[in-house]
Amino acid sequence: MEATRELYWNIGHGASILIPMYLFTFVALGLLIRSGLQRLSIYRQGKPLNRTDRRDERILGLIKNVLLQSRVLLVKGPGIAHALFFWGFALLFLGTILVAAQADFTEFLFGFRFLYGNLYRIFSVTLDLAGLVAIVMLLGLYVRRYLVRPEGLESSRDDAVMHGILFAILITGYVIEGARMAVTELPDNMALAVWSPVGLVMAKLLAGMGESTLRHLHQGLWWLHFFLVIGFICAIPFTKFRHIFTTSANYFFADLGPKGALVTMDMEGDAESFGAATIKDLTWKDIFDTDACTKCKRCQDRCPAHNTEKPLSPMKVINQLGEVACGTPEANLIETVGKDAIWSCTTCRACQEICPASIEHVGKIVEMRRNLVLMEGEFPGDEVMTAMENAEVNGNPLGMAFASRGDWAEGLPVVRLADDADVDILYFVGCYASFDKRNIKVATSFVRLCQAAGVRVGILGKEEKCCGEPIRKLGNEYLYQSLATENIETIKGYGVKKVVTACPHCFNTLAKDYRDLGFDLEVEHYTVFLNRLQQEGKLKLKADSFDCTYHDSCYLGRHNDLYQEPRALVAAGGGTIREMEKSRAESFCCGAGGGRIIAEEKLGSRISGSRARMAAATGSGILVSNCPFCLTMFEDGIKGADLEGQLIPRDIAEILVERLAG
Amino acid sequence: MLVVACIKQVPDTTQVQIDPVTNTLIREGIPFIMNPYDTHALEEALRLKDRYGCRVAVLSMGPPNAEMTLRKALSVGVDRVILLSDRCFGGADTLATSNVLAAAIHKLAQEEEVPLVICGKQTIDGDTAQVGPGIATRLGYTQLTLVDKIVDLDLVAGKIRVSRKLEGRHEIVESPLPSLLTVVREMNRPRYPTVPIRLAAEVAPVELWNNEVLQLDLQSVGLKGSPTWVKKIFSPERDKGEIIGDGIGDPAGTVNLLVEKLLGKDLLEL
Repeated sequence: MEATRELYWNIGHGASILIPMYLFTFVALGLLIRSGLQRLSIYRQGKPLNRTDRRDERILGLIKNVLLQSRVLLVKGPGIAHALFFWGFALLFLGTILVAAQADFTEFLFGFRFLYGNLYRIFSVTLDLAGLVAIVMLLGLYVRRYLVRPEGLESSRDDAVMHGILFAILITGYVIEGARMAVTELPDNMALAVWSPVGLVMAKLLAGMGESTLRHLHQGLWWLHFFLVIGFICAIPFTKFRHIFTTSANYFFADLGPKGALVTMDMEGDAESFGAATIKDLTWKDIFDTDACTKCKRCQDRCPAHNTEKPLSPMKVINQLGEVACGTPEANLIETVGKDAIWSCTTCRACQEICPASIEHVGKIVEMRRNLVLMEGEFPGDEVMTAMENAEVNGNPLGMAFASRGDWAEGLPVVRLADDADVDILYFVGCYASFDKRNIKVATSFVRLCQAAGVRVGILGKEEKCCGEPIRKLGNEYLYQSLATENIETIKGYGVKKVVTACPHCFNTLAKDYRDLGFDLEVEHYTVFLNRLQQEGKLKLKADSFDCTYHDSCYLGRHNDLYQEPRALVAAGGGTIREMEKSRAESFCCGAGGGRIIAEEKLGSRISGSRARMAAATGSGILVSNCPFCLTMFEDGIKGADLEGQLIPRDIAEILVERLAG
Repeated sequence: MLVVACIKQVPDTTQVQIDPVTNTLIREGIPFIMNPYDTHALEEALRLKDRYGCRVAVLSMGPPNAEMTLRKALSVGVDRVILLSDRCFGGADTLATSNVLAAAIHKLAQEEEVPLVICGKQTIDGDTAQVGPGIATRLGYTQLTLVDKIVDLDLVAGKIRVSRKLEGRHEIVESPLPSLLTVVREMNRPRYPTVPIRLAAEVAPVELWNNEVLQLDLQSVGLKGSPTWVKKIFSPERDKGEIIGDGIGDPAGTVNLLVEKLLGKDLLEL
């Protein structure tokens, strides 16, 4: 007997079946396309943005993230369940297409069949098991959502509808298969039946019914299964099912970097409004993002503000913007999202790094901040306004006299470029290392390390101004550009070739943000610079073993993917790192990013305290970091969390300078 | 209706050092700022504009480079800025300064009613607190000094009631308009300039009034009109601080040490 089955068995294959079937299918697809096109008008409310450049890269990202589920799998548990369900369901979809292709086209028109013999056996067992995998994964996701109920996972009508339709489609599929097999294979074709193991079990369960009952059951369920699928297609635009298309498309439209770069605003054009106050002030991609969100809450779980009882959830921001775009396009975004939420963001990028839908949260928050600052002159507090005024007058947010910016380097082997521009590197010191006593120690250590490695270091001294990073992240693009332009002109004037910073915020700003303003010098963070000197044998260290834990700063880690170099330096100094639970791309912000370094933390608990407790939990006694903001926050956080004596915060440079050989 | 705020460009004295040889301020590397008290005067004028729709003019007497600071006033949204600058105004003491400012306000008042003039209580470089009262006297305005709040303003009835911040107490004073207010820091929090106004300010005009415009008697302005002059500026000698005792380990003993020290210096009586 040939290994195959009669397609449309018990249903019939005449015009009375095919015409209504295809009619319903095309109507459903028509509705889907129409709703999709209608949705385009929602996205079109936004400003233009080119996200169709670099097509090869985009298509690759799309394939990788849809077919391989790469971003979904960044989180194991539910990620694996989603991926397996997706692969299972996709195979079933593909199988259905093959059936229709043969029965309604190739065989119908040309008498050509392919679903028989070994190909049919493989087809049969693959689909049979794919269905099982899909059901088990869906069940797992159901248990997680409705019984385990992870904190923050909100279930709406959408979720119930989606679980219901998918379960019903999968289960009716098996009963249909079982009923058919009970009649056609169980009695005399067991050799083929074993190629549908789940169907076989189902067939045996149903075998007690008489053939005519089975035939009725089969026919009824076949049509039910069909209409469930029609319902599924129609539900796509109106439920989270839309993520099948929107999230996939979002992989294509994803931000291809540089990571974390903000849009450099045109401050001199004839724009009448700056930043985002209404949905029209955002780009179409910002609105599209809101449609790609599946409310998986991965962003919220990792948000340092959310985790310290502040009124910010990146997921909620996206959802609120989506509601405005779809329902109340005239609404004020800032009122909708709330100023406290907007100001709470540390721009740490934990949300974007983990988002399985490639949504860009931070830029939207900064756009709203820009509107508050540039159009209303509003800040999260008076202390921030004062810092802005200080930066404007003295070039630093701390309110220190600008002329004393280079005083820290008195007596150190450092030249001011104004006196001597013949140097190997320009050390862009930054505000904290210039003025803050604690961080001057780091700057001094870095200079000593350079000296030991035979590197001639120059600084700008009083000619250097704040790089503008905290100012920019707080929305003050105007002041940022004015500071940046001055720095760029000053640096360019000296003809230096390479800039090194000890601050990840300065580094990220000079290396990426300044590009848009015409700065093109090579910029390195000192950990990368020193690591190279160490490997080249120019920086000689004697290892002196110690235990520590290491904090990946947001702007060296997530923003620049520099995880290895600083660890290599710690190891070169004899350090053994006991990693915190949240490290590398999952690192938890110190609380100072997003300009929060110059703002008081008035809401919720201290982020720095939370991080200090995580560090203390490793039991290593030393918290090593690579950023002046982190160091400042940890000095406070450790005191605030009563961990003094248990944990000492140190910068890598401070540790290395104690281990200089010779 | 026009509200006038008077401002002065001053060196940021928090950063100023005095040259021990010449006894003059070292200006090198010191940024110029708007006198901090004046920023509150300007802000209060802007709040009156927001509330009553009156216009705001800002006056400053100073050298030509004071235009920079007047531009800052433009960037927060004032309607008119006037720099009172002339070689013959130079070297002025508080009397001569108030002569010039009063003359300018008088001139403005001929075009438009000026019910209120607002000044900072004093400047951080001169610290005299005399210019505001000087202007009021010359204009015949009631003078309300050390104001930390306008309690009530009735422009129709021409009445103002303000709170004055005195040492350890507040005084509520009512006066007929026109008045001149000198304000303290507690008055308000000056606003941060928005970008659209800032951009407009970049191209807005700063009017220049010299003595051809004001037509003041040369004996009443500048060095010639100034009966006072600075003889010497110096930083007082100060003993270096020290840490005594062990405040955490032995608080009682440390207090005893402190009391003995203060008694020894005759700063405390038992």
